[in-house]
Amino acid sequence: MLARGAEAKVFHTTYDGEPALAKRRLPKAYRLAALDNTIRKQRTRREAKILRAARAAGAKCAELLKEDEQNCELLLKEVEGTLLSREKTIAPKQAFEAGLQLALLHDAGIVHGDYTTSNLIADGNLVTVIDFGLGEFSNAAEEKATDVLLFEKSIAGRANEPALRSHFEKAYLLHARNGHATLKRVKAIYARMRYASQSQ
Amino acid sequence: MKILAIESTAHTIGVAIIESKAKSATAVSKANTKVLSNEIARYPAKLEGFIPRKLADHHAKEYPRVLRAALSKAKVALADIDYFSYSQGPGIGHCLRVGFVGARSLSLLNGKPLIPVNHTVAHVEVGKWACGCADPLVVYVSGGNTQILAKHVERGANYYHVFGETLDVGIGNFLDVMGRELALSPPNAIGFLALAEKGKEFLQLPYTVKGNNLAFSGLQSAALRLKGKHPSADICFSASEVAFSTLVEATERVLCHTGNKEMLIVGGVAQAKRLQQMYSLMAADHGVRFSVVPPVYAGDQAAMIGITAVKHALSKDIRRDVSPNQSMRIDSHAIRW
Repeated sequence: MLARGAEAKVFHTTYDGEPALAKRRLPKAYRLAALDNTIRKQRTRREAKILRAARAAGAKCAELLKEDEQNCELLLKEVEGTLLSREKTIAPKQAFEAGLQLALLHDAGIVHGDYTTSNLIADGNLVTVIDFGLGEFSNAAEEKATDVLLFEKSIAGRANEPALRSHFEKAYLLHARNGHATLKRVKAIYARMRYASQSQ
Repeated sequence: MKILAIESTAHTIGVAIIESKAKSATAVSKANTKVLSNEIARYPAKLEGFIPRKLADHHAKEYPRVLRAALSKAKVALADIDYFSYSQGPGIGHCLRVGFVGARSLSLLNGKPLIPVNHTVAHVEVGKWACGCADPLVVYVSGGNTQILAKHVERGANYYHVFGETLDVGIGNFLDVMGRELALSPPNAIGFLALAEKGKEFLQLPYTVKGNNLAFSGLQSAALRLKGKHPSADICFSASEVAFSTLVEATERVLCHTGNKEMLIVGGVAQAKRLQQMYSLMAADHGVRFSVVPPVYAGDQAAMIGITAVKHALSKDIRRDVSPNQSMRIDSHAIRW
């Protein structure tokens, strides 16, 4: 086993004689079986669809090799690099790249749903987006703003947080079609969160 | 030291007396810090919900009786108290003011310092004290709050960082509204959870997890649209399964991110049996020690305020700004222990 996320386990395997990764959504004992099966199948199918659309839109993400809905499993090509969340320091250029990738996805009508540094793999300044498990096809400002919010929350507390945030937003504004509207919505979400301070 | 603590953020007015022999804030444990008394009066659940003015009237009327009961049960005189503490926020403004006025008057009359306590921090601290956890991932689930928290260093200090939270209403609030709208008995989360156990058919409802965050208002609307079309028991069963599953899933995500070795659930909703069961399954899967705050310290009460005040006093961290604050966040101030 290579990695264990909250939802799935990732194994090394081969596909057509080439090394590949298998992402399998395992049953959750805490969830009612009826609910669990629906969610796992739905998410596997949707993730495959989104991965294809994201690559078609030119975003950097893992290549989908095979989809197996019955076993809730996807076969993917391996991605080089390290998780951004594991990096001691994140460079502003990497945050910029993260903003650009998110803009590409949003313009293709894709929201990621879990756009945090734990789901971005950095190879130098290049950033690859992984795990579309909570992704959706949506152009809703709310959903897009949630992606921005999740990224910003995931860099919160880092020493260079303001620089990362500004580079991320700058790239997003430069590349996303409705960037301004999305960032405005981010502010609105902050404002309606429980006991949020007015300054955020 | 002896501390008198007052809680009055929402439906409960409470007074507790705490005695601590701990030498430092980090050493506070069940062995050296005792709850001598923990008296409460709770505003009854009604179909009209909570009307702030009525809640505050209830608290003001019950306060003298609760205060006397706490003192006599603890066999402590006001003159023996070293610090007076109270819930500064977050909460309902009208209610906060009752506890604040009570604590401040006692502090002035007896010439002893006043310690303002953040109600959210107090829920976490009492859970850690009661369950003997050192550094747990904490899930705080109550009427107004749904937060997934862990101690985290930010800007050179310790904070309870909010890794995930509700983006609209608290889970307890959602359960209360369901209980009220379905006119259950009692018309709140308790009635809802009791009926949920009798549900048989699982009805499909929207399942919302936004990364580590949650939202319950969409689920609430969808579940209430089923009112009258399906038995209330099935609606309650399905809605609670979905709500709790999203909560456990978001927590599991945070756990994978933070890697804590202990997990603790606190707050009124922590008493929900099905939620405890789901969490223990998830914790076992990750090899994490799992604890639930004992029932007496789950809902709002003043012992948690007193235990947190002990830590404030021992770490000489007493806020100057004593005014009640309706919208205090848990991550707005550093934790000095």
